[in-house]
Amino acid sequence: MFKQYSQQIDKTVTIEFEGTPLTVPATITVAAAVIGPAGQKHTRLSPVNGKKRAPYCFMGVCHECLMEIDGIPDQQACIIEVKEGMKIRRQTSLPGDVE
Amino acid sequence: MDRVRDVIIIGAGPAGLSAAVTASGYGLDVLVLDEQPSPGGQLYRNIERAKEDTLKTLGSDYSNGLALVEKFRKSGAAYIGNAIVWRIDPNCNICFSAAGQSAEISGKNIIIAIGATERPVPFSGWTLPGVMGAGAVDANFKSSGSIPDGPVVLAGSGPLLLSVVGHMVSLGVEISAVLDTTPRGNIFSALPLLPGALRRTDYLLKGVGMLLNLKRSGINYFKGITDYKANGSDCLETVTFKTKNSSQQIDAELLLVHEGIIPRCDFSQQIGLKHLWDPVQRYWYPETNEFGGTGMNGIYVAGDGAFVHGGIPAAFKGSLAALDIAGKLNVLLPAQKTGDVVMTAKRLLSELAPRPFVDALYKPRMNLYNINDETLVCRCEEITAGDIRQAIRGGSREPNEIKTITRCGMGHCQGRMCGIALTEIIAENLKLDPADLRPLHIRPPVRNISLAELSRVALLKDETP
Ligand SMILES: Cc1cc2nc3c(=O)[nH]c(=O)nc-3n(C[C@H](O)[C@@H](O)[C@H](O)COP(=O)(O)OP(=O)(O)OC[C@H]3O[C@@H](n4cnc5c(N)ncnc54)[C@H](O)[C@@H]3O)c2cc1C
Ligand code: FES
Repeated sequence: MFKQYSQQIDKTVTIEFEGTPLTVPATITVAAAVIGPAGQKHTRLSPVNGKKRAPYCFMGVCHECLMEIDGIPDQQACIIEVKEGMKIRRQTSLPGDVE
Repeated sequence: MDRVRDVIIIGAGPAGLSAAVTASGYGLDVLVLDEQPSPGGQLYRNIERAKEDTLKTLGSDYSNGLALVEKFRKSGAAYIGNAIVWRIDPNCNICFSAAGQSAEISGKNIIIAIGATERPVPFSGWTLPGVMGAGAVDANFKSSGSIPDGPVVLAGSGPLLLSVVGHMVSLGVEISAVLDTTPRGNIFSALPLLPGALRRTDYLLKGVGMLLNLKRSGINYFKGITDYKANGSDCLETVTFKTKNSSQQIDAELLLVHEGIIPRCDFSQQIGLKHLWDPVQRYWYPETNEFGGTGMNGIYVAGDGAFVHGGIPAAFKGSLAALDIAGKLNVLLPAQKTGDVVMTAKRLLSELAPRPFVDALYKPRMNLYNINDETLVCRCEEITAGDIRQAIRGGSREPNEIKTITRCGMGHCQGRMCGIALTEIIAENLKLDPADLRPLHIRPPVRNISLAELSRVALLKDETP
């Protein structure tokens, strides 16, 4: 859904999204990495009915970007920056909904 | 970490930064906490690390922030970034989380400067991936340098919408359409306020310039549209809307909506300050005096979190709060205080001159919350407008009561996304004035902090009722 704008060369880090390594600019947020370089449209499934959800506010208000980061669930991916080796997973609290 | 600071400021936006610079200038011991990785707030988000091309695209409104952040860095005020504040109390104790650990600290004063957020307005399809806030996409660009990839539709009303359209054009984003929902009649109620606004023709010309640029850019620009909807099974596929004479449909990768800006009342509500309802812009705001002082001794609210006036006024409001605190802590002579206050208040007043006109021109449309029964209002708990109306028919009339019955507002966001819609739906159904209702409670921790982390905080003496 998103791409990087700047032509200027960035430092990069390698993160893992759902187990797959991915090289991304070093100063982007986890949410930006998931719906940008990782090529995803959604960051979580609604725990109520399993529907796909994506970041809405990008400023810490809506809580639509909650993800599991380095094993800790319910982290706001839009205010946390990526780090070398970071492991990011989607929360799929309904069984059978994992892609 | 343990010493009691003269003032702890929550938020490093224009308001918090100016408050810190002013307070430090008078020798006060200041600490600023902000959840972003670097100072700047919404307006000057990530400014210290902005690339050349970002500064160029966003222009002087953004790059002007460099000077303020530089002053702040030199001011001597302490600063902790990546710090999420999750509770305050009337004794000026503050709990915050940084690097997965929480701590409680104390100040003699707190300035709450957490700014504003885009007004969440439920509509059909607004939970589909691909639908986001327009300001949100600006924020994502400032923090991460990301831009939309694919055709975009922008919808809603307000100066920020026009400004985001301008940014998207400069960034070369493909725009399929701009759907402006501003009612045509607004101009008539705004006109009587124009003379006041003429004192700041610079602002008015900027607004006119944005509109002219939009028209010149050749973008599909629809005025006076209604009923925009997001459609798709798994994610956004099309946007439908109505013009005066027709219904239309457009394919889109992203729908960016903006219906104005409202104060973030997380902490003012958490500690139970009195909130008032603004009938023009239709939002809750905490009751404050001219310095941002509140009914609670030592607790101040500054910037857009006190009332939405914009970035430059936010900075003056921050300074005024700091001046009042400096006066109370006896670090400046009464005459000095009076002089500085008069000067700052005068500059604030001049900045506010165009505001009543702009607020009336972009007054939210009457039918903003004409939400059909099937539409989700509470995104976290998946509660529809129909569920809320059913509770009202069952005899409930208080937002907090309806929250208990329906679970609307009980999820992770604690009603930040549905609270105003809930208020408006109740008011409309029961023919009440929203001002007579009470906003939803926000309880600590006001942010998502794990139970494990909470259990490790050693709380100071708690005198909160
Ligand atoms: C998405 C968005 C984009 C905007 N873009 C523009 C623009 O381009 N031009 C313009 O003139 N105005 C813009 N505004 C309006 C904006 O409100 C400015 O007027 C200005 O930034 C307000 O300054 P402030 O200091 O009051 O708050 P802000 O600048 O919003 O600063 C508040 C700070 O508090 C922090 N914060 C909030 N909660 C917590 C917490 N619990 N713990 C720790 N820190 C916290 C935030 O991270 C933020 O840094 C925008 C608003 C939004 C919501
Ligand atoms: S996108 Fe809204 S909280 Fe992260």
